[in-house]
Amino acid sequence: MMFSIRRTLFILQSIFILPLAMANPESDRESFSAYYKDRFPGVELTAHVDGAYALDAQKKEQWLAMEDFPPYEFAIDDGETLFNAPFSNGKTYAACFENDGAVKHLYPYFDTQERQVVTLAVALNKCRELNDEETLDYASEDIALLSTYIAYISRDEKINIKIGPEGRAAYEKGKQYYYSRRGQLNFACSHCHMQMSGMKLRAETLSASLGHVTHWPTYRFKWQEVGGLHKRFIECNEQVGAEGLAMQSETYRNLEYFLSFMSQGMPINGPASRK
Amino acid sequence: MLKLQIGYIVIALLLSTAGVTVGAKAEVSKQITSDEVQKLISRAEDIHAQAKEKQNGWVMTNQLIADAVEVLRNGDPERAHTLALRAVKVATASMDQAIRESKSWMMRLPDHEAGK
Repeated sequence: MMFSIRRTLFILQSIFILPLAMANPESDRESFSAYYKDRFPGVELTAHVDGAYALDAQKKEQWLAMEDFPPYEFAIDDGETLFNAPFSNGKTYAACFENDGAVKHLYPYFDTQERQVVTLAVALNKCRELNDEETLDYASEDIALLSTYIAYISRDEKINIKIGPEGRAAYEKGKQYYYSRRGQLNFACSHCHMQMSGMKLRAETLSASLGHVTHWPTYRFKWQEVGGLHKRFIECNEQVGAEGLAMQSETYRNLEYFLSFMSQGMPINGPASRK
Repeated sequence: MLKLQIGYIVIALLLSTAGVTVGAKAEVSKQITSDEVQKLISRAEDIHAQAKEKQNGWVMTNQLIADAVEVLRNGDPERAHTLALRAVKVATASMDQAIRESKSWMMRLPDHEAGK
């Protein structure tokens, strides 16, 4: 009896939910945006690039005051120095990136040769390898500084991510990760940043996932330094009692790929500061 | 009447002695060996490794395993046994979550939410 109920539920799920799960990325994005439009009718969709500050006028005012003396300013300068420092062969990072390095909006992309998602951090290391330099640790300060500078010179460029047929599987994996419960608290990313977005977690307002990727790297006062999106993923995982994964692990890159496509067309406004 | 009372007292004494004996035997059988605890720790580690393979390890599992190992090393197998059992329980829960979520994540898609 139990078996037949389970089988019936599985068949029903397959009929009604699987087609939704396999909807194409563009319709996923439309549903994603529509969700926030319905949830926050008074907030312009593009305003979500400011994260939780788009949902709390008072906190936005305080944040804007802090931005008068941006705590990430020195990181931009240091990143620029690193970006222009010649490798041992005399070339610089500029040799690897078009548009003088203003490319943040084009990452991540799916590399059809390597069959994996390439984030900006991975691209920086590929550039080093191409120029016979040792790769950097993804948790290193240099990766954060270089990414900060690149984000800064990419400001206002609109996110332009392509999900071709070959990148589809990676996108779907990122999507599954986003909607899956994990950790002892049994929370999915979507619980905090969709269902509970705009609500308070202690004194903090939970941000919408729309626009989540636009403002990284971010100077977090909690960290006292600039850090990348994957550092935040690790923190999010641990906050719900799940073990964080390695920075630039395949799973996190796929998640970034999915989230970036959800924010397609939104302007890059990183680096930013957050509490 | 007095004989009857003495009889009751004798019976009560016999019963309480038997109780102590049974209790002592039970106590002996409850003694936990380090090997048993080690087996439980290994089991918890195996399940945790499987959960991690599915990117679904829990922080708590690691803590409980580490605590069980530490307590066992410090010579308290009973407490280590309790911790190791908890580690197995939590690791199993994380694995169950991973299996359940391999299908039920779809329920959280915005289109599905809107259709509720």
